[in-house]
Amino acid sequence: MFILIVGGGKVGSHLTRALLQQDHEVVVVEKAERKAKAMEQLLERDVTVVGDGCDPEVLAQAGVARADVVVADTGDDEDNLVVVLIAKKQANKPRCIARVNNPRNKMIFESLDAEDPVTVISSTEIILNILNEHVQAMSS
Amino acid sequence: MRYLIVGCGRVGAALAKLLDADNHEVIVVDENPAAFKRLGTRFKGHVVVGTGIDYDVLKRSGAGRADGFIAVTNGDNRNVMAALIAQRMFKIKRIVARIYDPPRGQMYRELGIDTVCPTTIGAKLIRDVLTEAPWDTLQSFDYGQVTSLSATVSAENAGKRVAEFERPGRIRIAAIRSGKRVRVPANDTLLSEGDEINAIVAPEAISEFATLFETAEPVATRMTA
Repeated sequence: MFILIVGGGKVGSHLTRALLQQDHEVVVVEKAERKAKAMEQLLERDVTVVGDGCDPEVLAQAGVARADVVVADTGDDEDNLVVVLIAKKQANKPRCIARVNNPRNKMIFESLDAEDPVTVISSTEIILNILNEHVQAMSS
Repeated sequence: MRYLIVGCGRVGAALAKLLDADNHEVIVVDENPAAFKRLGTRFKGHVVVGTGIDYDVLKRSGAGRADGFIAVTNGDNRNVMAALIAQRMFKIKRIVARIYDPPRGQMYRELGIDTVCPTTIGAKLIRDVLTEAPWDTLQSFDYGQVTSLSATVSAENAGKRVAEFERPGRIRIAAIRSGKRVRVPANDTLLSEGDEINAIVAPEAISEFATLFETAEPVATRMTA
């Protein structure tokens, strides 16, 4: 599969490494040239496109039009939202996965496409749910 | 009306003051409390410290009862996200977002969010001042897809019908001012010398429009009486 990742931070780097090991084709869009270079050195692969992943032209250059999956994992919810908006406009209809910090923002992502909903991952929410389960287990 | 403005930069503050002066209820949200200084001492509205892309902050700011929502932070992405929250979660009817990047403006309008692009408008205004263009770019709509131009009816064109100057898909005469009277013309409305006409013109027809009214010096005033 061809997986396009927007955001070459910690999540993006580890994800890329794992996906490459599984023999997927991966392109990572990262704004900071320094981060992109560090990642390529670490992975010993030419996988990055340096640029703003919220710019439709940069995403086009990175190959969004033939992506099977687009992962929006920058640290900012608003940037991830725009990545998804651009991906959803593509004719190839890539599956979209987005990271959100503010769990309240999940609803906005989920409202974008009722037929093929965006998968939204909020680590805040995951931790919160586990904590709640723990609290419930303790009190019962 | 109750307006909620996200972003208290120069534009946000100026807009807040305008709406406040017109006796609307205005609430301004900004992350930086120091930004509210721009509102001056006479501002009668409310301010809320917080980010505009947070449901709770917007709810606390009265988004649930707002008639209009304006996103003018300095981040395009933040503006579109705030606008989507206003649209999807608070069902606010009138939503305007400022977007600096013109291609993205188009995309957001498809989502039902009105956008204003200061980049395009600013560049055109500067060009028109620079080239002493005879029209008023402030009336341009939508990223240069159509422009509103004005011209004065010369003696030679007097007595002709509006239809003679219209070109389907390219030029439409939208309004005529005769002295202090402004009206929307019919096809057979007759033009008089000295009338000021205001036309909606496609970009490829601008020179055609200039030729049609060649003998007249086009004017750059707004169609208000």
